[in-house]
Amino acid sequence: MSRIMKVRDLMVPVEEYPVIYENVAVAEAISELRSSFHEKDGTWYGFQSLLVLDRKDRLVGILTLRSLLKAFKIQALYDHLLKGDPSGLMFIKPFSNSLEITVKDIMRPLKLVTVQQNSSILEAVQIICRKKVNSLPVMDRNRLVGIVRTMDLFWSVGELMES
Amino acid sequence: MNSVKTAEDIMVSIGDYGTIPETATVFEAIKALRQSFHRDGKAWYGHRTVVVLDSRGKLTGILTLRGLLRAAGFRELDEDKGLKAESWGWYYTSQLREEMGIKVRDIMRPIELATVKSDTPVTEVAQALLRYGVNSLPVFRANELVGIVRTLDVFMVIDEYFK
Repeated sequence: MSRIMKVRDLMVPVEEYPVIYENVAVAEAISELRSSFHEKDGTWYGFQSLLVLDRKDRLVGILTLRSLLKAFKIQALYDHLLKGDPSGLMFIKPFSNSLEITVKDIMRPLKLVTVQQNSSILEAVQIICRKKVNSLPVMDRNRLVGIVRTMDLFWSVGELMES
Repeated sequence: MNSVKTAEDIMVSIGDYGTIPETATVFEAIKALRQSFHRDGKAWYGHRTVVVLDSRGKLTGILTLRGLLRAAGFRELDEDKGLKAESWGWYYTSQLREEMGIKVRDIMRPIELATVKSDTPVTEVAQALLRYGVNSLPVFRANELVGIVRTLDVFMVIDEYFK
């Protein structure tokens, strides 16, 4: 028996996902992600990523925990550039202040890695493995309709095997 | 200024992880990992990694969700041009059962491949996670494995670095 499961059967619909604007500072993004993803009684639960909107409320990216690691990298680069360079002092305010790193600098752009909602689960798994991501935007042609995660796919594969 | 936190300050102690023997099959590993998850609506929680032990009880590897999915024969499927997406469920499960012979040892990430030291500062842990393309890194104090530090653990303290 074949069981025809599509990506849209497993995804989290876009309406249920928390969002953030691309021009928001890293510190604010952190606190947004904290409120959606938090620890209670010793276990973590919630969403590990946020959808990113531009000024016109269009979806432009996805902000994951890994994206936040990039903020450390940018910060280290700024620190390195400014170290021991007197002329760097002129730019120290805009660059050395970590508030200046915004969501846009560290997010994963939406068009980079996506899957169509009618794709099979197999295709989604392949993309996740090949592109090394854990949250995969699901599209209906050009429109974002949801997010499917490694965890959702893993669960479904496990169910198939045990049935 | 914040005091400089290190890998050891934020890691999960090695004793807190679930374990699996090197000789377990892929199927057993999937079942073991599935048992450590819970579902709360659309949000998942629980441990997403198990550590691998050799016959003497020595820690030799890390087994992750994505590693398991990739290991379970998807690479071969990827190259099978004749495979129709609609039949993937049937094909996949039979493929997996045929490959039951694959052991955890064959698909785990060996501990030594990417590591950090216990006194590595959090900022460098973040960059190591990015550089190696992983979400968890074994932490060594001298020659002893003392814990695993994850993207998640960096996230827990990240607001001390971006204010």
